[in-house]
Amino acid sequence: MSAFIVGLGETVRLRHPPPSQTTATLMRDAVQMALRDAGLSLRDIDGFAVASFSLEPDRAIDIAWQLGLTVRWLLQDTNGGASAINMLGHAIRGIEAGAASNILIVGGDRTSPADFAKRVANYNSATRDHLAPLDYGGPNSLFAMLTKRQMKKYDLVKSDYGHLAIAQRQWAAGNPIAAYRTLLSMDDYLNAPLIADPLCRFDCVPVVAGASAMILSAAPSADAAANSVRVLAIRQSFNHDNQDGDGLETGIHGIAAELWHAAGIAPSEIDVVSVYDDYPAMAYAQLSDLGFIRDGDIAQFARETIATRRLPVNTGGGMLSCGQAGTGSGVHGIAEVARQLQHRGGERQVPGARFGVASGYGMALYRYCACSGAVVLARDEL
Amino acid sequence: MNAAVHGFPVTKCGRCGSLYFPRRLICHRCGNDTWAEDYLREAVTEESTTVQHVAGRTDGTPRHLATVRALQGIRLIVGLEAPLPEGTRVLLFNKDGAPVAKPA
Repeated sequence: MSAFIVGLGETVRLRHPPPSQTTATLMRDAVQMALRDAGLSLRDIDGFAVASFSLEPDRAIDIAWQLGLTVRWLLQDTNGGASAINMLGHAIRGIEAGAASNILIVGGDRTSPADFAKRVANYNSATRDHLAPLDYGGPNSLFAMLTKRQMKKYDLVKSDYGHLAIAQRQWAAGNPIAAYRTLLSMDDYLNAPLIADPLCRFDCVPVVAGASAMILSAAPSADAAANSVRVLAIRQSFNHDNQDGDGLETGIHGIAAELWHAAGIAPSEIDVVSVYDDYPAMAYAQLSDLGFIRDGDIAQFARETIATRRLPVNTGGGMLSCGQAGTGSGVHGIAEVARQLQHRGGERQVPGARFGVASGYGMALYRYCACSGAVVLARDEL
Repeated sequence: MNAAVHGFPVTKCGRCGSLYFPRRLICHRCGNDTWAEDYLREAVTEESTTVQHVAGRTDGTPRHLATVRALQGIRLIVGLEAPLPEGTRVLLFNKDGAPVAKPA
């Protein structure tokens, strides 16, 4: 593949943003950082992709207009936790087809509690018609039940999820944009208030305001602040099982072998991983589907690989510590892997990182999500 | 739950008889697009949860939900009046288009 991530820009995640910060201004700030990082100007950008839950009534073209972008490739994505991977996939193919040469990808949201409640009650027609009348309380209840199912199937205990939340908080301590950076103990985790059993406060991503942007180019940028990151392979999956399954396997399971074959490397060669951690159970599901968990032994993986941070997973802290900035969170996962491969991770840098993988997972149709995908990235040594 | 009606309506493929909930446009098993209505009346609980807190709300009233598997094999998310252990046989009711359940 000939596509490179050449610039990154991310705003600090804010639990209580000032009134002056809107979704659009957060995106603007992330875009300006990404442009500076890439050594490019707005005039160099000829493609634009945006994902957000809170842009209405504006759309991609409105944001392009407000940013002063004139482009020949435009995309608006609505696939939630899989938006970033989806935008990146389309952008790669857009570049390969010659439709554009520098594509700006941005995701972000500022969501009020009232807007959040409205969104979760009207997420799709199935939710509006069959879950909202139950006063289901949003996706926490769905993933609480999936977590229980995973615990039964794989003989997990509550602390197995705690290992992930605690490890990610350790990573977040070195990430200046994370909303939560104070270290977490297992006692803190196990004694936290329940939101929807077995999920406690530290299993549920806090809503924050923020935006993340990245620039994908046909060639490395000579003026960029850091090494470019090469895309080795990307694969995606949509509606993998018609919601007929148990929800513990994501669509990534069906595309992982092809992904690794196309990338030309194996999971054992990966130095840094980002998985979409809307809930710890689904982070483990993605890690398993990607091939990082041997023989489906999530318990051993949680206790020996996550607890020790032997495999660097969600090194920015993930959404569990950064907070969920709506659709900006998926872009953050990819950007964090890219940042590590550029050796710009600061206090949280994984030494000598060369290969990374980032996955996305989103859009709960009824019982679980149906959109997923993953991208394999490499440090470009040119 | 007094207003609820016993039996929960789902769509049934007019050709192969496959049951779906929520409704679909085309039967992914046989490709048919005509539908009949059928009713699920009994199920078994698989997992349940009690929602204690909802972002943006302060009422604090716990909500009890469960994933149940109907005898016909379809999984539904239902409302409960109180938590139920896994494996409990329940009757399904229709309350304003949403399934609710109570012990059989």
